[in-house]
Amino acid sequence: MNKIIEVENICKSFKGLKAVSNVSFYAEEGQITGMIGPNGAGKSTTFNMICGFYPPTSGVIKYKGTDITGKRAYEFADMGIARTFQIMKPLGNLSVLDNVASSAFFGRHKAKNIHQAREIAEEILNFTGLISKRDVLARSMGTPDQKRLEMARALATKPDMLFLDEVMAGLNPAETEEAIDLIRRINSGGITVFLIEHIMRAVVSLCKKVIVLHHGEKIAEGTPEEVMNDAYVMEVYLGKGGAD
Amino acid sequence: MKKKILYILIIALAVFMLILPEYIASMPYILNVFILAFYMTTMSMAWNLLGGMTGQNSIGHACFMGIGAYTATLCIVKFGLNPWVSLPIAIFVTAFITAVVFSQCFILRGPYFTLVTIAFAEAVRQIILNWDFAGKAIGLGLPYVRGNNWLLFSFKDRAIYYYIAFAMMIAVYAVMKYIDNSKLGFALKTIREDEDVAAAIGIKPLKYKVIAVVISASVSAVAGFFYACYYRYIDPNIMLQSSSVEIVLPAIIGGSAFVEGPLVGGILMVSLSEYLRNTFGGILPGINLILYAIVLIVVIRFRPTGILGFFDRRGRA
Ligand SMILES: Nc1ncnc2c1ncn2[C@@H]1O[C@H](COP(=O)(O)OP(=O)(O)O)[C@@H](O)[C@H]1O
Ligand SMILES: [Mg+2]
Repeated sequence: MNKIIEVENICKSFKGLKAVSNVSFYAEEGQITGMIGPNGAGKSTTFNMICGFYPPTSGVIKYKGTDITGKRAYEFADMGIARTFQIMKPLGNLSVLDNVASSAFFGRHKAKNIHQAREIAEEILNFTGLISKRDVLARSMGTPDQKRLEMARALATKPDMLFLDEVMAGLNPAETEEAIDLIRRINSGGITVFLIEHIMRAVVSLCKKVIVLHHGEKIAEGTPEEVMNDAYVMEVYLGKGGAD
Repeated sequence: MKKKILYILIIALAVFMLILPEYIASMPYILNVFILAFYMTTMSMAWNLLGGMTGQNSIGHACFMGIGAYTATLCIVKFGLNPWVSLPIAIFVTAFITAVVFSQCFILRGPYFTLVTIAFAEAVRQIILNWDFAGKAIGLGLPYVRGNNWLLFSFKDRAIYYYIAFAMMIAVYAVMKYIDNSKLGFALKTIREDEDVAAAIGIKPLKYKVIAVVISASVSAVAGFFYACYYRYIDPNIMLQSSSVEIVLPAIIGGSAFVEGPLVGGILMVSLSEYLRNTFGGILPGINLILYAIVLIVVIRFRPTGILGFFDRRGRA
């Protein structure tokens, strides 16, 4: 077993508010790991620290055994780490194809010219089921397609490790099924996945290990079954109707 | 099919533009309007690389042009250098000053960045206004040369300036078109749309913003060199705030999201404003500016994406 990401005692405070405190966990290479917790638990904050959008107030983050704490966000694509944003950030005035082509120019594909970049982008649009939207402006798509675009754009950086922040929020059951299938296909292609999700069904069917956050602290960790049967988790999380 | 017709139209237009001076050579006023239009369009394309493509709105571009014009003129007049040597020096000086200043300014975003460009331009204008060597408020003149002299970049024939300005505009358009489809262009457009996304896919926003402003300023310096050689006189007023605003307008009117935007907007606005001035200027001085403003408001009100926005078919899912 290889730990691809290791997080040791990370904390984050925003002007006195403790959003994340003393959280430690690891993710196994090649697996799908999940993170759940009520709104405001600190999940996105944890992601943002791991992906370099802001540094932790304290603590250490390791990727493939190397300390990457404090690395800047733009350095991650080259290391093979990609992410999506919970609040979708499509490149609104570019076509869907060019949204993805931009990642192919940078990231680890390093396309030499626009033809190569668009070729790579087309492959990924095929894979993610967005090919019929290739010439549409990204801002004119609905939530489900924009969520897919988030994943397509991240994939086009050719990552080893993919962080997905609530990519199923706002999807109907059929679209959720498709998203689960897509994540499984991404993972079977050899990409380690770490996902934040509210939809229990997705977490149970995808994840080997789940980490539960509450008020910025890790309150449980284990297989989906173990976590769901944890008394404290049931009380703070499922008891509040957070489940799907 | 449609594309073919468009190509034929463009080639026809280019040929028309090339033979036009033959017919208007005796009308220096009209020639001057065209030269001005080419010059303004070039400046607006330079602005559009930073404003339209990168999303960093500058209202200080007249000062990049001014630094180029002043550096070249000082080299020629005070140091006795040949214009062809002065041009690359002007480009280098402008690029260098811009890189040093703006690598510090890009931590500011949105309107704060725009304010800095205004302040920067005004600071440069004030320095020139108080600098003896640069002629203070009186400005600097370039010597007139007899006949047409390519070596000294001075021409009796205005038609030659027409061709040079036309070539400059087309060359800058070609550069912008190339950038638009290149890795650099994608970096700039991604930064314009969302800096967080840019960083997440491996683009270093600061680095690319500095590249954009340096290219933009360098092109402006070339246009400034042309301006100085054409009018053969410059003063600090070329860097006034109003000139910077005028540079922005063609891109906005034509459509700043398109490389062709400044081209369409520049030719249209300069011709329109000169036509209005000619037709109405005598009757009611100032009416041309009012009409000009009305056209501006109407276009922006109905099409924030500019004239070319009317023809953009994308975006319907
Ligand atoms: N940039 C920020 N500035 C201030 N407070 C923040 C910021 N980001 C998140 N927070 C706060 O930190 C807490 C955790 O937020 P977040 O990580 O987004 O939760 P989750 O993703 O689990 O719903 C919340 O109380 C939120 O209001
Ligand atoms: Mg969140």
